[in-house]
Amino acid sequence: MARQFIYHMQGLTKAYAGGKKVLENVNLSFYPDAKIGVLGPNGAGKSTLLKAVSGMIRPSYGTVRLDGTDITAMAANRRVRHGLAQSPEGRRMFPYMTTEENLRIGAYTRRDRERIDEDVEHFFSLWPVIERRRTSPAGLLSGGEQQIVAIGRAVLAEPKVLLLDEPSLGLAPVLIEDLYDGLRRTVRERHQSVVLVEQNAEQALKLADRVHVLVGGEIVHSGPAADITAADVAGLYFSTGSTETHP
Amino acid sequence: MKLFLQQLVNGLGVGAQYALWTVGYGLVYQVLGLMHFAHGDTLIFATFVCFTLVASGVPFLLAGLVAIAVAAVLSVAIERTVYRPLIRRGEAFLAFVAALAAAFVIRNAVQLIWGNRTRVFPHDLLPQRTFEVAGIRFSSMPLLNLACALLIVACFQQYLKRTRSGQAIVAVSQDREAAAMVGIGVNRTVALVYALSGAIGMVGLLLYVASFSSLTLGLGFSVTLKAFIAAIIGGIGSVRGAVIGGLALGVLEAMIGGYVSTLLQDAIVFSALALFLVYRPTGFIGRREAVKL
Repeated sequence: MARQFIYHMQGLTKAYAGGKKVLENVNLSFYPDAKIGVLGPNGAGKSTLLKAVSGMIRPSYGTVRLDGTDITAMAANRRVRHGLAQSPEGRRMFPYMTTEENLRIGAYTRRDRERIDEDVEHFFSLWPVIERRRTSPAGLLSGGEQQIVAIGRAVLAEPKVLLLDEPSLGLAPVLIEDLYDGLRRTVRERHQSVVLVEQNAEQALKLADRVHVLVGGEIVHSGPAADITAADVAGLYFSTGSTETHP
Repeated sequence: MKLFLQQLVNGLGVGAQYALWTVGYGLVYQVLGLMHFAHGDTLIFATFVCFTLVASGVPFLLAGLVAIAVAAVLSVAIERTVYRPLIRRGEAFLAFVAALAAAFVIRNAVQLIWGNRTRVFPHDLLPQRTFEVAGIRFSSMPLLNLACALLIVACFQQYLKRTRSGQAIVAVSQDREAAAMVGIGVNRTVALVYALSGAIGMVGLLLYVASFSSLTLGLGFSVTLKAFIAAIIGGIGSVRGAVIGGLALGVLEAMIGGYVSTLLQDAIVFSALALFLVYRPTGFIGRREAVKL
């Protein structure tokens, strides 16, 4: 029996008024437990793609199916119920809620109280530094801590597909290492399907088993992560006519 | 000293009503960034319904429950039909104007149904007695008001802190998009906020008619105005701020009435409002950006 795609996006195009296309004919499909990396320079359409995946924007054309259900026109909050949770760009903590409240609200769509409690404790056991800030307002955490909480919040939804938008953005290199170590552990433990959008190709390639390189709103390369290096990826940014510079 | 204590107790009693009017008003502001200028007239409509029920023999507490339900439903209806379409189009200023318009429409509807006359409730809606402490006579009514308000606000705070829908309200008030991203239905949550603001505000008005018995058409605007002033004094968008602002406004008015003149009451209160807007726009305990209309 053929395996069914957990996530199946076909021909996704997003054009804004005036006809400027930020995404053109993007196909993105994968099986359960896949770790997908989406790489690309600034302005390549990565965040737009992720917003289309999570339902924060409506695509102009194309269809999206999640575990067999057509979710193309589904509102963002209902997608969470169907198994799609994200750690958004900029972390988007609820700044006046405590760290623990921020985590728990991630489980908003769940009803199994005892298991939610266990998952929260499990998270804090993995991150003792954050455990100490449990009752402080999340707005007072450092950028790195907020990023970890944002990912924890998304994981607490127990999604079928976990979306991560630029987790390394704005963090010190040593923190990025820690963050990715923890992230790798978590997604392997849970056999979690992941879509990771990153500029930091080096880290993304260590987590992903398949990568798509997005330049100018189009996927210019797809293949196993093992077959490509961070330098190759950077080369793709330039060879395909991107005008943006990349650090 | 005697006058001071009496005015203090009376001020706290009235301030307790203000606090209940303000809690919902401030919450709507926090969630939508919108001054809910139809708040008072919505509550007055429900109060007139309560009057009609009481006048036809329905017990006050039962009529009060009906009024609470009416206030909640009417608040949600205004949100759906007036605010939401404008807010969705990003027309915050139009929404503010539309709020004023909605207030007038409701007031005229009240006028059409119940007329212009002052209505008088029976004087024994809630049990009350007077007692003497150290030679000073107090009525039990202000104390009952204060106890009711503090109890309701404490319950409401626990609700926000401990329940799933309460946390959804808190989340939506801090970041609507992020709230949607964790699966919260933002529209439903906003509707819930309006329902709660109507219901809690209505309790304040039930205490008002139980204390003062008279009900006039003009009271609606006065409710909106008191809530606005109390919200700014206390710190808009915070439940604790609403209570502090409401009580402070009640006491301030009572002291002016006792020591200066009731004629100057509004002038002094508005001066205080102006001072707060200039020197402390986030109120006693406000935390976020300054007030915007």
